[in-house]
Amino acid sequence: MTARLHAEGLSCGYGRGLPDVLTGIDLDVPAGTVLALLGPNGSGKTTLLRTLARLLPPRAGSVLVDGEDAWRRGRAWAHRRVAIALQDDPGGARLTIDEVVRLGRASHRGWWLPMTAEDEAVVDRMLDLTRLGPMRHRTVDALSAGEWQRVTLARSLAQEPRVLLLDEPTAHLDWNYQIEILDLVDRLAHEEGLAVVVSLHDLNQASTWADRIALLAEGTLLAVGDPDAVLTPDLLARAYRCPVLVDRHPVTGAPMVLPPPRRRAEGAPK
Amino acid sequence: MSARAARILLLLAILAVVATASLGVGAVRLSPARIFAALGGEGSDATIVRDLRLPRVILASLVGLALGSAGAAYQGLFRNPLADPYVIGASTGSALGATLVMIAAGDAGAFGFGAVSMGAFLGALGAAGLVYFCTAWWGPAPIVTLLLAGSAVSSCLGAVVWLLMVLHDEELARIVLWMMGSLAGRGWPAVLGSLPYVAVGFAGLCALARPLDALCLGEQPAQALGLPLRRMSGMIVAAASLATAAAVAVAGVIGFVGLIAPHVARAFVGARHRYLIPASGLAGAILMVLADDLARTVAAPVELPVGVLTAILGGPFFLVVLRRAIR
Repeated sequence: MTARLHAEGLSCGYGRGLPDVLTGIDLDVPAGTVLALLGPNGSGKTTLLRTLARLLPPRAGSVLVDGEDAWRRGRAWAHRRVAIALQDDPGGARLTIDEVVRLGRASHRGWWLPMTAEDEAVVDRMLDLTRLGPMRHRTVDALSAGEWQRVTLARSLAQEPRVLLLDEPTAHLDWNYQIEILDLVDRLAHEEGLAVVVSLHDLNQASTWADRIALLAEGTLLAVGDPDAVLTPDLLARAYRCPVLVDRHPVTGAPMVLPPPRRRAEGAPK
Repeated sequence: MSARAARILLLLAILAVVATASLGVGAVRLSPARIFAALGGEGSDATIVRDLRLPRVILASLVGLALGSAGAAYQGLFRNPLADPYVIGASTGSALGATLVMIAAGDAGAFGFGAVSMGAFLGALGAAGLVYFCTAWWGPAPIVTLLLAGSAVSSCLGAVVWLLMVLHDEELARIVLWMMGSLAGRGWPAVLGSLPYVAVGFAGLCALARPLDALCLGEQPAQALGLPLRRMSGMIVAAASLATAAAVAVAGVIGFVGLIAPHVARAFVGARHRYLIPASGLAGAILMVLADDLARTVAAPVELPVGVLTAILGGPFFLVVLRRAIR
């Protein structure tokens, strides 16, 4: 049984003559699970997501969706199965929320044919899921960062993907919205059976919401496994080049990462 | 019928009223009753209305339709509220292409036909394509980059036209008029000659509405939706250039109509291109008919080139949009 999303010997990079950003990436994301992508800035999280989303051609290796090579099967095939929500801003677009989310249906309906009743139903459902229904006719140039994150997520969901890739969906969000987004991701994976890959900055969010964690550093996959196996002081110190403490969540027992004590805490001059 | 479709019909109705009223504007002023009598009757009124003013008003509408819809498409493609066929150099490229064909062929009696239109199309395609691929190549660029690239291409191509004018002074008068943009003296052949080009360009842009919506989000998100970026932007540049060329081949370089019309249209129907493209075309047609009325009458009996007029009126508008865009 092949995993829903499978990457094998993947090397990614930009531009001719420039070195690889990542090499030798092997990943498995089964349906119904969440994989968190961790790593310091510049470790290649976004690059890997773009390669998995068929936006950036791999320099070596392959990306398989349900056992089939996404680059061989072609653009339309891939974007009906894999959706990505990148970190971006609405730019100058003055489309309404509704119009942006409808564009997600283009992966199924194509660029010429009119939307069907089924498309409308999917759009309605995704607007409800992301709680955007009541404001669907507002234009996106006036939204807060958190609202725009939800619009981007709803647009990706309107593609009705089997694989959902999210690039830092909690960036710029208030604490309560971060939890709301991650709870939604949790439901999408465990109730709707999506394979989700989500890049995060917050190690403890990864520990709480991810089934498995992939730690990127030094141009490759440093470790991949369940949170207990990856969130260890050794691996984190290697990846982030700074000491960390790892404790347990008082309720769930999941590993929790804490900053080390301040250096001037004991006896240091003020 | 949706509210936005109703507003498009409203624009169509405004165009019909403005166009009909324009039939009465000129050296001989005609009341609505005389206009309608002349349309079906005989005599001097009928000659003025049917042979002179009607083709001219229809031609102004076609030119405005082409420029307005092309402007909306360029603004969507470049994600820049200041793009229009004139600003990005497509109009000047078109004029150069047409001038080259005219000089090479030595004969271009009928405006808007065959070889001249083809030259205009290739010129527009070359200029718009050059500016597009420059800005795409340079990566996400601030709004002014496109304006600078467009202005560089435009001045360069414009200078070649001036050079050709100096070298071929037997064509001087016609080329000058062309560079200034005018609808004077065009009759039914010009209308019939430009109609197919305008129709194909406009229909193509209407069909490309969904790709244009996707491009509004940026190139990356559009590709994530499965948009074949290069093919679609190529088709958008081609359709917009065809519309631009249709306008330039028959009326010369007319600036700012393609810039203003989409802003007017957005206020009516919003940003979704399915409605924005036709609404921009209609707004462009209305503006163009009004501008031509003004050109015919403001300094009567002297007739102003309408392109000079739109540039004088459009320049300040450009500055207003620029101020809003860079803040």
